[in-house]
Amino acid sequence: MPRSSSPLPLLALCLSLTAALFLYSLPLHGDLAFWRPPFVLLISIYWLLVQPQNVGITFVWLTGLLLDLLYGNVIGQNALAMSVTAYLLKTQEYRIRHLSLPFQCLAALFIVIIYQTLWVSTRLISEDIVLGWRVYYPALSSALIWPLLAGALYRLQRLFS
Amino acid sequence: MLILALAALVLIALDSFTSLLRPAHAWLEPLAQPFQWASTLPMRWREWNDESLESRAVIIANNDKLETEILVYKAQLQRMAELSAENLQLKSLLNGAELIKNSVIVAELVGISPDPFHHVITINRGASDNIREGLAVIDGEGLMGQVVEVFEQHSRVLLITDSRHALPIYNLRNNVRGIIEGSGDFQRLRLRHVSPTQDIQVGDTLLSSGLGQRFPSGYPVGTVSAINKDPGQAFIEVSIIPAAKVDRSLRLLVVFSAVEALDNYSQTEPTSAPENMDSSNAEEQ
Repeated sequence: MPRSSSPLPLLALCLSLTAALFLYSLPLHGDLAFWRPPFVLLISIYWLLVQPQNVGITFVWLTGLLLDLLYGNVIGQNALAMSVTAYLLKTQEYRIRHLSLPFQCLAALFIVIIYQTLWVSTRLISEDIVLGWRVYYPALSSALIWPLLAGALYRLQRLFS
Repeated sequence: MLILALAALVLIALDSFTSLLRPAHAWLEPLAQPFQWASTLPMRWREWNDESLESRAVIIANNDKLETEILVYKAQLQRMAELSAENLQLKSLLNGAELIKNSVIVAELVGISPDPFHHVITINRGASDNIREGLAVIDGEGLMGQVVEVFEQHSRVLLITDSRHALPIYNLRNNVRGIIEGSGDFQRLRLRHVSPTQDIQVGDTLLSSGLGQRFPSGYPVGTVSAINKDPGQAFIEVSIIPAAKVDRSLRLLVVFSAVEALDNYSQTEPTSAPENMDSSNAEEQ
């Protein structure tokens, strides 16, 4: 994942976020819904890694807040989980950016595991949800979908810069 | 980083334990509409498919079937009028104080929560249609859920299958009461705290009991599908299949129930009573 020094492709960023929100809201049948990757998180960390001079943890926090507001979650749940995940990622930034694609997928797996753990813990503050291994299904699906997502985002970025 | 995390924690606390952030939800609700709409696309596509891509013969056959169905229902309704009148008379003889008058309003599903842990849907009726929090929502088959959040044009409905939901019911066969709770699975509900000696069988129909005064009484909630008796446990496990098509109904009814004093109905003209008693005076849109 090369670090891009070009100015922030604002249009590409907005487009990708809108697409992420649509992908997030598409209905999946029954238990398949537990496999939905956290698209908004994946797309914001992509921008965090390739545009470190423009996109920071505050951006990730704001997208999390937007997600909470749009989908009627308790406000702040995603903001907290996503920004803490982004912070932990930021501490390993230089290592992750130079990983080859298979290792990037592995990194995505661990990042989403961290995110899901944080997200479920923040939800347990005020909600009563049934826990289980299905909490971590999105980590597997994220790892599988990462090459596709990163490729599409790279094309999009090139298109608009 | 620390500031952001603290700010998020403060927001979570404010939103969970106070109602200070309600205006923010209501204000951003219109922005969520396109995404909500996207969430019902497959259902809409299926409906459009059913409506537009059928051959003439199939549509005619369907129409015939529906007409026959209406005839059967009308015949049943005629009988219902007599029974309701009789019921009213008996109630007044027994000094029953009140009866429940239900009216309904048709609503359409406009959004489904993408969160697999929440069974929440959005309907296209809101405060402007006199929707309030706590109203029951049904489909053609049975009880679906209750209104939990009301906006100007929309409202959010918590489905009975959500793991945070519970409602009081009774068994149609023997009037035994119980509390059904959601399991987080669209096809399954659970009955809580049933003792091993209780008379419950597979196939029993469970109706809402109206205790707790949130749901109107007498709407089908589900049928018992499996009973698991584990000798080591204090209670038996009862699985229930919901009566309503919780995950596939597009058109729903919101039930307004009003408890009215029986004195309001003149006992000398029982023919006027059935109209008020059944819940068919739908307010068409």
